[in-house]
Amino acid sequence: MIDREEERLRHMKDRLDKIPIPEEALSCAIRAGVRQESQGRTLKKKAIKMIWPAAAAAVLLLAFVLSIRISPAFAQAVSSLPGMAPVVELIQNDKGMKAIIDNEYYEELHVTDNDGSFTITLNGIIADQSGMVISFTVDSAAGLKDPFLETPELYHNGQLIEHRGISFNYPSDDGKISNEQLIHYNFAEPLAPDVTDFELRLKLREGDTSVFSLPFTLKKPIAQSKSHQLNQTVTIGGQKLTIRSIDIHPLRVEVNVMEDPDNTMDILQYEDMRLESESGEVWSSISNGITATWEEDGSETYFLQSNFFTQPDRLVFRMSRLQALQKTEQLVVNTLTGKVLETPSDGKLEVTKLSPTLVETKLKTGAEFGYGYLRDAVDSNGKTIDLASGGSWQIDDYSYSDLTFKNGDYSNPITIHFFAYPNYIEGDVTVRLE
Amino acid sequence: MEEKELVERSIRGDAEAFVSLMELHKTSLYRTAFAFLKSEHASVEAVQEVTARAFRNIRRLKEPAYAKTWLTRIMINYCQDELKKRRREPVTDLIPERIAQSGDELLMLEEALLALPDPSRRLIHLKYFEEMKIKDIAEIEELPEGTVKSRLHNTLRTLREFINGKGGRSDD
Repeated sequence: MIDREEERLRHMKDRLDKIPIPEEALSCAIRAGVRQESQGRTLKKKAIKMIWPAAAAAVLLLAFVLSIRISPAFAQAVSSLPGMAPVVELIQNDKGMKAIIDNEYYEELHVTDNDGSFTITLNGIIADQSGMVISFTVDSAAGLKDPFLETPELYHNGQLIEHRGISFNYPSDDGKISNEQLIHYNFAEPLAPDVTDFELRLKLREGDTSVFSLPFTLKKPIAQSKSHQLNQTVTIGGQKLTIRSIDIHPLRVEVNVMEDPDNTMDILQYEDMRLESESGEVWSSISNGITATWEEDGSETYFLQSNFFTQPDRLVFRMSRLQALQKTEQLVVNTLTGKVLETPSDGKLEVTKLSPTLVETKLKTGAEFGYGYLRDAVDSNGKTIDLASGGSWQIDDYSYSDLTFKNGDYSNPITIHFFAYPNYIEGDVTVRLE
Repeated sequence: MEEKELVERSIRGDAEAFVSLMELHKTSLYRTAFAFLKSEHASVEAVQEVTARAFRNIRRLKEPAYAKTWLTRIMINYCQDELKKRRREPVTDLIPERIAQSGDELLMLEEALLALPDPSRRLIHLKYFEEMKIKDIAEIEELPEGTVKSRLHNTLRTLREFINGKGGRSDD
């Protein structure tokens, strides 16, 4: 009879009830646990959150490296523009953004919505055919403790404007009453020139979730982007690739590149991809927020700081140092058994957390790397796994990157692709833009 | 302060209230950890990690009355992950202490419990060690009550088979 097993289990429970309790050690452990998490929170605050678009084909990354210097006076002047204070931070990393402010290519707004506890005010918008940067303020009479912004969405005539990535900062949780924030919204398709009416919907969660709706109309015309069709094939470090097109928008320059499928290496990041003018002025990669997307046709689009407002006579596209990894170097895991089956042979990568909906890894990169380095995952049938979100952060010499999946509905083992990796090939590529 | 208030304050980010809440449940959580990990050191560490995880996710605790159940669930998940990790990277210098004593009939039971699949082990733990009602187990495991009952029954049978098989006995 199984009564006997029940009896044994009860017997064991009695034993368990008699084990000595290390009261003091446990109190210390509790304090340490709270401290550990509070430090974790501080780290998280500095990280940017991304939302993956519904279309599994598009992929984005975060980076937070270079910064260009601007004068304190300029920063001061920008800060005094209504709602433009958060833009100062942006400008420090992006001279295209600085040019936007210099050329007054932004629109001030004053649209608010409140739910009793919070008021959200739209302060200003920078819009072009590629996307929109939205500056807004969150006000709360009680001060914000740990607010969490959920998917902001843009609508036109009640229809969601499809995006290929949204990035935004967490509102700060330092108890301030007023908090200025930015949202970067990247359009999946170029915005039609006649669209001027929008509605921003967003959810703010602090305990309860509040829903906000902010309709607005843009009065200034949206600038027409300039497109260069190049289709030039170049070779670097023995790998072939085709620079297909370069599109110049006010917010950014988009470089569309297709790798040769016969290459022995996967090219991951074009670190020093840049535009150069005759006089040697350089527009380099965008190094903050979303910096690239992966297109459905297998090509990739990288974002450069924009020269839209400075159009020199002669402009060249250049690059000389790329991150690349042999195609045989892989990360393969089984999320059900928790087994790590393959990692790159240089031993720099470690899997730190693994569950059916989360893969978190740690990579020895040095302190200056700054890329969210995991791209996406495919299951054992070659099906791309639906991503819910991804994030990255840096602690000392290690970069961390995670991917969360919408569900565990895929077959193991899975292969995770890299978006960046500290392994390089070098050469010199120069293409003239006509 | 009542537990309900501690939970509400914790949700609002009050670290001191959260420490008090954990103090209320530390003994029970430690026992849970010990039932799985069988080592004082590992169980204290488990309480630290579970404290961090619970503090991080306290907002997901919708009903203050279920704080203990919720914490227990986090602890069991942590312990089962730890055991998996140990299986992956065997640590030779760590000899687990035992709840059973040598020559004890409970030794066999411990081994049998280790051999159970995670979901079955959880059901046994919740029913016999946490002494939870079938109804509550059904709720946290998100299973119908009937399923919990039949799985428990089957698991007990598996335990018996394991013990009898190993011990070569068939007297019951």
